[in-house]
Amino acid sequence: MPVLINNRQQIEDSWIRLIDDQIIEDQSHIIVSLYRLIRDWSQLQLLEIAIGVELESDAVVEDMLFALSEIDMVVLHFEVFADGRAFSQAKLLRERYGFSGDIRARGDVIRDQLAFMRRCGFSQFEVGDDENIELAFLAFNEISSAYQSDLNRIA
Amino acid sequence: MYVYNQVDQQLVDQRVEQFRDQTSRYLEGRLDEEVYKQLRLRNGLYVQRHAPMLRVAVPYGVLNAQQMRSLASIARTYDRGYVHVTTRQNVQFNWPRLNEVPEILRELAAVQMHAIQTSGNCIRNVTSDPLAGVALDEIEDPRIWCELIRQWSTLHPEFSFLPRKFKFAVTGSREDRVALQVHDIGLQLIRNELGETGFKVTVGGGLGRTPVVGKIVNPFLSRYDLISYLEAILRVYNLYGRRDKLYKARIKILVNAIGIDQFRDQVDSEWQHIRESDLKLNPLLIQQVADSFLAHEYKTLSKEDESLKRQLDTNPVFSTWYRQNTRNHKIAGYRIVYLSLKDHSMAPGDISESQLDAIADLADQYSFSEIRITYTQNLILAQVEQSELYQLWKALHKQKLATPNIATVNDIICCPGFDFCALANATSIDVSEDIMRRFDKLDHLHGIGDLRINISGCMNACGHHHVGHIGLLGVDKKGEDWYQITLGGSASNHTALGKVLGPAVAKAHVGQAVEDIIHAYVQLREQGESFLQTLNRIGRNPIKEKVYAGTY
Ligand code: SF4
Repeated sequence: MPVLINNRQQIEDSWIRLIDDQIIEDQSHIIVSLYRLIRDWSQLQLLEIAIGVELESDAVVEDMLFALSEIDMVVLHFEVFADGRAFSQAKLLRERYGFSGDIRARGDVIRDQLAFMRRCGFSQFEVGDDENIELAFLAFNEISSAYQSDLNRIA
Repeated sequence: MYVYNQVDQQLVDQRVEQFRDQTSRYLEGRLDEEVYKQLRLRNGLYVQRHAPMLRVAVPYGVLNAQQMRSLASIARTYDRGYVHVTTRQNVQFNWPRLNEVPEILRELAAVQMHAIQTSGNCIRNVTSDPLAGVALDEIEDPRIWCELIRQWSTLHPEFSFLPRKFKFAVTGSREDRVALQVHDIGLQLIRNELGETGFKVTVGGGLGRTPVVGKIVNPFLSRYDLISYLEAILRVYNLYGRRDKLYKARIKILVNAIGIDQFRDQVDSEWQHIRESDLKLNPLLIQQVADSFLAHEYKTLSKEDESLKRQLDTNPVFSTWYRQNTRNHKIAGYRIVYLSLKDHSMAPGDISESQLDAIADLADQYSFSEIRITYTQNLILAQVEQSELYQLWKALHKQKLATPNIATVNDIICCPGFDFCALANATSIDVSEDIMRRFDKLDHLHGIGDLRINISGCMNACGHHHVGHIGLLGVDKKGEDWYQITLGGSASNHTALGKVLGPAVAKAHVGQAVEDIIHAYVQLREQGESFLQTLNRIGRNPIKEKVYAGTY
């Protein structure tokens, strides 16, 4: 089982991932696929529960904009760590579309990408349980300065 | 020469420690092989045929004497006493030991050097005109822009895991000396009707398995929009570039698939969201970067120099070198001096540690302590007083760096090939040696004029064979080394891809075939015609007949 962390500590995971035809019972936090979000939105939007959406790397972020203001979390799935599309997806969600809920990295999440993920707007990370958690937190600050924010700051 | 500030230095130092940690986790079995591979590649470390290879970044091809000495010392201490310079103006160590690489990186960091993003699927080190700041045909010095791109692209959080590698070239001159149009993005500084400078942006150039000449995506980009526009291109590429097959993943494939017009529209629609964001450059920031470059204190010299004139008149060897290996400088009384790395005593582009030290001393003495690396795998001392040329020539001669063959047949661009590279089909170094031996006679060489030969050991095309006037590509025929010959390529302003001449030729005959091609040209050319001009006039067939008249 992966362990859920933010950039400082391990956190409890109150979210349940549902497969596309799984019945919603008494869960309080559910994660659905983009496909299900679009298909079932008329029902989902009536539920008084927290809703998260999981996007694959080939998903187009714009396809979920219709629901974004009522969504509490977006999960971006790394099928393989070297596929960097989720970095752009996170950046767009945060910067362009003003999403303020949690953005979670799931799948092939490696310690050496955590800092990049955080800088692109990810706030939660499912890391492998073989990862030394205490050492993983250090990864966020291995490089303490950044040109990109420098460009931003000076301009 | 750009001088690091505290932020630059800290970032490089921390990257060294991060890499040290990654390497020790790998060596202790705590980091997966495939993960480590991707991480080490992003820090310039390949595993080659015999040993790891470490590629060190030389941003836009400019080095100082102290950095040169550090390369010499690393070559002595950790390697086999030499370095190799590449067509992308970087340097490579071919024999480091994996566990010692972190130490090498620490020594490099101490002289403001690093290996960040010199390989891997990320934005690579930016290349530029080796004559930046000294060329007569320059519109604006490109190095400030190169440095801005270097900073923007270094450890970019969004663009460090792209579909494939991504290469920039920038020039501020009219003449293309960086093979601009075979880069993923080429930026050429131009002036508009209002007299403002901006960039002509080409996209999707590249060699390798699918060679493509770049296409114009923006005919005039305002300087202040440079970073936001690049960010827009990279975002479109990161999201929509193919990732299913390695050889379909370069941006050229995306551009070709949807067409340059649709690609441009996509970039523009991305760009309009970020154009007025904090990615917009302002004069203050540009000035800050400009101020971080050390300025040279040029003297006021007279245009003519009597002693030089006398030496040129009386010493034919010196005057041949002067004609072939030096060029006009934009400031009166100075000259640009090429150091040829194409002497037979070494493989093309290799420099020994003692040569590195000697060059550092000569740079201190004659050229504001600065050295440039060229796309053609030679070095330049870019600002030498005319009156000192003779002394410098003598010193270079002693170091075997004065072979007067710049831009001649023997100025061969050549990849490391089978001797070092795990991907190679065939050798390249011995073929270049064979050709050089054939054209050794200098008068012979100069009679041939500008003629560029490029050799690659496989279709990855690191030797840029597609854009050689004569290109040789190593192919594997039943375990033997054969070479496909192309003619008519060019990496100049009129970039063109060479066309295949005929069936591949076995190694034993390839040198002869090149000689036959050149003899055919010499016979068939008209007064004053260059190789490419003759080829364009008569086509390949007359040459082909002569080459394949014998049986290869
Ligand atoms: S062209 Fe091929 S053989 Fe030559 S260096 Fe590149 S990958 Fe290696």
